[in-house]
Amino acid sequence: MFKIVDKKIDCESLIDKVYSTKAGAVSSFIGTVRGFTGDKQVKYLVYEAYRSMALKQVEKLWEEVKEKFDIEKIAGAHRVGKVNVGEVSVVIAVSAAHRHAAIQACRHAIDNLKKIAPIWKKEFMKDGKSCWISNN
Amino acid sequence: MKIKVLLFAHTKEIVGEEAVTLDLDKGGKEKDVFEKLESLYPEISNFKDSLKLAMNGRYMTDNDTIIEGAELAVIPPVSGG
Repeated sequence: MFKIVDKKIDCESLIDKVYSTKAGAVSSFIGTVRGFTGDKQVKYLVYEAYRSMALKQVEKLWEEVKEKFDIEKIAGAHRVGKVNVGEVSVVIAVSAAHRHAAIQACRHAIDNLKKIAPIWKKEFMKDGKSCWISNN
Repeated sequence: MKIKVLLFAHTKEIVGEEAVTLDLDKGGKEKDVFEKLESLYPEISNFKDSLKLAMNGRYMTDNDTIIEGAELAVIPPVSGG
């Protein structure tokens, strides 16, 4: 499961989705908006997504994660629109029988989501400047 | 053939549109789309090496041929997360 939302992400209910009686571990990653880039103060971010492609790409990534790691369930959500400093922009949760698989799969999922999902962020600084960011 | 190309992030801001319609020859490839876009919007040439093209929600490779009626999208460097 992966969704793109324009309201605050409810991390707990997202993590709840991966609980399983077959799992002995749940690992999650929560990305939040940092208030600084270098020594410059960030006011807020605006995320934009190519929704249909992002959903397709991330579901494909989830399939890859399931093949690669011995996990039970994986779920994620990414926010779009204006996101203030300190707020959550992305959440990923993975359950597995054992902790190592859950942790490794979660890491693989966020690292690759950042590479492949057609989602962009524009940083708005306190000094009035703004620019589109690249993850590379 | 006429083909619609979706634009996002800084590409959308430079062009000033969320989508453009291009007139392409049948059998066109990714490079033909970028050549066309560059001729219409020369500002794109400054960063065209960083752009990718997606067709129907999948990243295109150099060998893929554009299918009539497909949804194309210019994908600038991503920055989700």
